[in-house]
Amino acid sequence: MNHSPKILGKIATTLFAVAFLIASISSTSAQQSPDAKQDGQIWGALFFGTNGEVEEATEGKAKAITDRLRKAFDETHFQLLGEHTQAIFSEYESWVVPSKDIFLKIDSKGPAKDGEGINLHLQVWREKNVLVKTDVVLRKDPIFIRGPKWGDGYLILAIELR
Amino acid sequence: MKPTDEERITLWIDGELSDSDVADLLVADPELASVKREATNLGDLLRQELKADRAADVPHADFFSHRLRERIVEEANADSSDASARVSLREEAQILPLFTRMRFAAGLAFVVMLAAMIGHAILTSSSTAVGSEVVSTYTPDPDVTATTRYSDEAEATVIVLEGIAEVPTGQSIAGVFPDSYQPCGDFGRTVLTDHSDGHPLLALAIDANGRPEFTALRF
Repeated sequence: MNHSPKILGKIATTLFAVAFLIASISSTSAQQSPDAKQDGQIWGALFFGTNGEVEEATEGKAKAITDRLRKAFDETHFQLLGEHTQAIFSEYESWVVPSKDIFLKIDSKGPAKDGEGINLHLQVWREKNVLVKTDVVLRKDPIFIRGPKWGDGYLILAIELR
Repeated sequence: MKPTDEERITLWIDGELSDSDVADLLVADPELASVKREATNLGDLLRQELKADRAADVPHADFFSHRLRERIVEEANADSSDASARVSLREEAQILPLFTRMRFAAGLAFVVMLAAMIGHAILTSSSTAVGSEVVSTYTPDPDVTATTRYSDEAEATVIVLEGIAEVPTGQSIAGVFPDSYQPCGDFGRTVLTDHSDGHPLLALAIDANGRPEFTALRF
């Protein structure tokens, strides 16, 4: 019985955290903009490229991109760490987050002049720092961004228009 | 010598016979008066027809004939100058065979270049629409450089960042697989849900300086 107040306190703290989380999600839903104009969808993935043995994707988009990574870089194996397909909007910034350690901020600048692809302003973030800002025209072919070294390999972001 | 009757009749019709001779003729043959009238009428008729034909003639026939002769002379001269020009080319080909051949070579080269330019334009226009382009890059850290290339083999645009600090060996890189989220009008309210089960995964907050901060919602 002596521990009851502590247990009650923990329960209260947990309930408060859950209530806060539910309130946050509800707030997000309430403030969504249903009229936001969608310019397209971007697939972003984080790979670890190495000459060592890692588990590779065996199917889907990640498998196809792995084969292309092998042709573009010197490393022989590429492990998919995370992936995120995100809609991008003409009036809002979008975050493509295959990892909370390395991720992308994307601003749409509208369709390309030739009608094939989309003009984007990309920022590659590593935690709280911008590694590179770039203006690109993203078309059918993907863009690979080789980032920092990690262990015996490199972290590589792959971006493709969906 | 005295004219015969036929000669006198002809002179009479032409009005050149004296009155006494006319009287003698009519005494000898009174029907000659009607013959003379018929001859006179026939003459008048012929003169009228001739006048009609003259009216259909080319006006100023002399001037027309003069211009016609001049034109014939001009064309004759032109033919002779063409002939002389042909002779000149032939002579030129004999004297400067290399120069003549170069004319043909220049024409052929022009046609080949034109075909090559058209082909290049077609191939270029069909290929540029596929590859992604990097318009510009900027690295805020002066120690970091970004180089861009296109890998034909991989059919991908590659940006390589050099000079970035390594990720510490002991640090783990956590990958996630979130769903697409809808934009919201407020900062710091974005929640990423797990693609596999739809449960909240990460909360994305943006501070006043525009810097992101993630909070894990699933442990």
